[in-house]
Amino acid sequence: MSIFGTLSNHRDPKTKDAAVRHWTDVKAKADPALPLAGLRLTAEQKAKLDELLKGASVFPDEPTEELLLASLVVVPAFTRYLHSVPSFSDAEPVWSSPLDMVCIHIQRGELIYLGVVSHEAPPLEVLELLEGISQALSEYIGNLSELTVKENFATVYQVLSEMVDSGSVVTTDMSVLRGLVPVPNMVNRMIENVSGIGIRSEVKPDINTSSIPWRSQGIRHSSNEFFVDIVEKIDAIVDSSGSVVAPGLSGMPELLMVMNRPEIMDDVSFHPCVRLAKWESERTIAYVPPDGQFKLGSFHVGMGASPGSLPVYVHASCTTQGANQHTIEISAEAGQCGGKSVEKAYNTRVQCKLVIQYSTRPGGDAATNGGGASTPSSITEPTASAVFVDFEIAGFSASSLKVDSLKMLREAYKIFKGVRYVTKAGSYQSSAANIDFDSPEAAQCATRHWGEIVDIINPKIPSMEQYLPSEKMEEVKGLLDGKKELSKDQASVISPVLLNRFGGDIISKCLAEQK
Amino acid sequence: MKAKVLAALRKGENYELKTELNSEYRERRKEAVRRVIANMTVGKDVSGLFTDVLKNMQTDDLEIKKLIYLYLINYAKTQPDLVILAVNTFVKDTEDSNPLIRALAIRTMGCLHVPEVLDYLCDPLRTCLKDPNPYVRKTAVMCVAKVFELNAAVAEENGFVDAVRESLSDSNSMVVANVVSALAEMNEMEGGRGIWRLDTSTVGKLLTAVNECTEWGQIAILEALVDYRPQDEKEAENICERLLPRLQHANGSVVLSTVRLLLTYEKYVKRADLLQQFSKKMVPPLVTLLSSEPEIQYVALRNINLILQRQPKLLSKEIRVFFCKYNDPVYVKYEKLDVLVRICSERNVEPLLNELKEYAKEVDVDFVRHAVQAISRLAIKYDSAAERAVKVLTDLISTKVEYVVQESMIVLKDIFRRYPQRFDGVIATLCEYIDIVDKPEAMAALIWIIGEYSEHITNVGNVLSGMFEGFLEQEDESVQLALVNAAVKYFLKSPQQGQALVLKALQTATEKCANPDVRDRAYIYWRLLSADPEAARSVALVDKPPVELENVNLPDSLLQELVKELGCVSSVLQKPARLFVYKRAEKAGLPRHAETVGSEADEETTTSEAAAGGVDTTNEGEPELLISF
Repeated sequence: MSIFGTLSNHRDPKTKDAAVRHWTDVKAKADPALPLAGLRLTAEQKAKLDELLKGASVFPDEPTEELLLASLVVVPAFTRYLHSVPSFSDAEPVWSSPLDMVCIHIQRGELIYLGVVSHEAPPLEVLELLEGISQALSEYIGNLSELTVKENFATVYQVLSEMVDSGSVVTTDMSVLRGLVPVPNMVNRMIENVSGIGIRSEVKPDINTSSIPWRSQGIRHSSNEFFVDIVEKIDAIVDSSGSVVAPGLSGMPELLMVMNRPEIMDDVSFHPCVRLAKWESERTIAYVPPDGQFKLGSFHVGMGASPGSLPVYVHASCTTQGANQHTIEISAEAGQCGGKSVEKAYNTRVQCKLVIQYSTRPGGDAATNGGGASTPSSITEPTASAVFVDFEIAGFSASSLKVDSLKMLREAYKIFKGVRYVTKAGSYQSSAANIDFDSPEAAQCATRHWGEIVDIINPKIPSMEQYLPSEKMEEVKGLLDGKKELSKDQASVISPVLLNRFGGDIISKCLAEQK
Repeated sequence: MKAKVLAALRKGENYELKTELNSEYRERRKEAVRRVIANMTVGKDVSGLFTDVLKNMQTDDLEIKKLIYLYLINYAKTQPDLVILAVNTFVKDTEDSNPLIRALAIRTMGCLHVPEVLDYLCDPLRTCLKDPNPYVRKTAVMCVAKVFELNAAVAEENGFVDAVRESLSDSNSMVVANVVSALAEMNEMEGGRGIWRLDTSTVGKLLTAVNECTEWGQIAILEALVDYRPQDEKEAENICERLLPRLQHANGSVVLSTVRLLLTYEKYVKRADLLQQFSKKMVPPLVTLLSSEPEIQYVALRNINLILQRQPKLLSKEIRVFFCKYNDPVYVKYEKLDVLVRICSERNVEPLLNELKEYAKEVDVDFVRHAVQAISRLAIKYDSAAERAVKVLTDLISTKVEYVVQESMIVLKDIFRRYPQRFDGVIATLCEYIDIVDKPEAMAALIWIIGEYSEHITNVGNVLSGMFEGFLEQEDESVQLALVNAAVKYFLKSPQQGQALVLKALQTATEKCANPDVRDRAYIYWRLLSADPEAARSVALVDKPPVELENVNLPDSLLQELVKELGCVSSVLQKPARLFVYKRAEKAGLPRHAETVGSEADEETTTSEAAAGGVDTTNEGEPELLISF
């Protein structure tokens, strides 16, 4: 397998061969890009290219070697592909480029990581590698962006060259990388700036030669502590996953962790340090932990779709009033969470899209608006809105999974152990109900629950003028007919305006029940 | 940074860098090297500084050393003569006391890819292959593959290949893993002439190493084992059982490689209970892949699609996992839809239809189309679901959202053809939405429905002549043809009412229509009708063969090939590898005559188109229609 991930590879003879064979394709792609070449190339390269082209505005039918190289760019071809789809995130992660190369990419933050594969290879391996690169770089550089990558290119190069050796992956494990390329930190940056001498041989990069790649030998700590975090994330489809964190243990300890109900963990995947065979046979998790924080594994627990099992319930409803007035209401209530309080529950974002339908008017009044102009004829209700919610409950495990015991073997000292449980929202998505107050169903509900609605509306009548625009207020006054309150038998004449403002809750609940 | 950019714009930067590189202060030299590399990265020519950069190579600062090595790799090919100047430092570095520097030197020398360096590389490489430190050994092993690529003869004559083969017994599993990837790579370069072949004893070593090496090593070993032919059933069973725990690995690629191995070994393992156990164990890890990043989900889904064609029942209980999330990228959504239709059974078709109805209400037009098509595929696949599907479609049509109505019309036509006479009641309601339909394909579908079932619609005459108004302005010939067909069918079914219309239709089509196909069709009808109305009846009102859901599976031979390559690029693109990547074998030796290149290339494009066609039908899942009279 070989991945030319880090540098564009138009110097590679294979690429050149491919370009010769597919010259017409390459030419077709390269010609339109020529006017923009100035943006991509440096001034010198541009001058050289102009010289080669001898003033022509397209590439010749028979390329010379230099021209081939100049036109040959897999990465620009890929950028053009990216621009050909509606949005970058819609681009298929595995794309076969016209140059006998396959482009595999991921998008993380504002950066796109592209791996170019020249022959058959598992794309998942490339994707996992790119993911690893992205994680490693963010550990080294912090906030990843085009600018920070450029500023820290020296670090980026060092890290990449340790991760990939001429196309085969060496490692993506942070604990190994940290040993090979020191993570820049404030202290040694300061020293470097003040004294002018970098931290070099003082911190001898060390390599791990043991048969346990994730833990280097001879680690010594003055205090030995081991903490386990069980973080459960609740997905909307009520799945959960957890991870375990462990800092600071000396020597080469082996840990044996027993869970209270291993049988409920069905889809399990572990860090390479876990002895998988032991898990298969005895359902205990035995491992030599890497030093520092790490994710031990993740698991899924099916919780059944039974209502009442979620710690937080979110109701969202979207109401439509007339052509362009929409109200989105979101309410949350706490469900079952074992007596613990829900912290930091907040609504993260509401996604909703509005459909605006255009109808083309036939050219009747061409004189006034330039013929066949489009005007919005109707705006339908926001469709498929979804509410995403975040919350956190400390000391609560939604799956009731517990660490039964944690034993250490092979090292003599005592450790301080700690276990912590947190339940968080994973991808907690609640779809919003769309309610149209003009619909006959809403009118029916209003009639049925009129008594309750009137009780809500009546106390608000005096302050109503603040909410409603004047022509709506007129409507209400007409309904009141000089009286101070609406009477209980006025159901049939109730205006949607009022329902929307004041009876919304009742009607949306009622409609939801009907569904 | 700003200052740097400005400085870069100034003329004569290379001159400035030259002075800096020769500065007496170490820190200024270091900064200069960094800037040289920065310039190199953005594509500026800094090759002129070669000798000055080289002067800084002798340093104990590892960062500088790495950056200079990088510079050398970049310019080695254009200035091979100058690289020789660096060789001494390299050789010295391979004898350094720090294993990291030894490994770095041997790795970089391999990466230079310059034949001139080969002579100097051989001796250090030989020592490094026997280095006491495993990190150096595993780097050296990879270097052999690089030497082999440059000059296979040198690698063989110096005994490097043999040395690598021997290293299979290395005590360190990471070295073993690298040996496997190096050998596999050399094998491929050779065009499979057999640099190595797995046998029972090496397989044993690999199975031990797989438990200890990194995930990347595991992938290499799993890939190598896929090509191995076990001696007997017992051995195959043993290999599978020992590799089963790999399914629980956090790295998706390890998981998929293991699945690939299990599916490949299916033909060696005969015991039904074991095979069943393997299938059962495969399900949870595959499902887990679907909760990872969207890119990984995509690759997983494409592969699941293939696996399902081999084992259709594998995931039938997991249907909910494949439901689309609101914020899934479109490429994931389309794959999920396809898998959903594939794994759906008569038992869970009902909830799936409800789910699809929700999708059809979304605002992404293409996704809605896919969802509507999925509904029709379900209706055509399951007799019992047809009723419900048609109900869903008519509900969707009543929303009057333009693109939903259009797409629903198109698919309803297929459903009507699949179940003739069953949904006659629905047809009349469809006509209420004629005004919304303006996409040619949808219009043609609707007109076909009207013509075919004219006896169930009360005022067909008016409807058809209404549509006929725009006949000549209509740009799409499929609509025009459909209109002519419908008029003829209407006339044959009810001659009294239809006569005026058919005359008008045929007259307009033959005299005023610009499209020769439409004219021809009209002429044929006209003659048929005037010569022999019975013959016309037997042509126009013939019983159509029912629509079947077909072409959703890839052709068998292609499927076989792809399942073998499960988890690889070809399984994702669903084309055999030879169609999209460069074959190393060609370069390695199989001569290719200049004059055949053209024709071969042509051949390749045609097969690729054929394969792509096959793939398309899978994606669209649209049943192919015969002639629509």
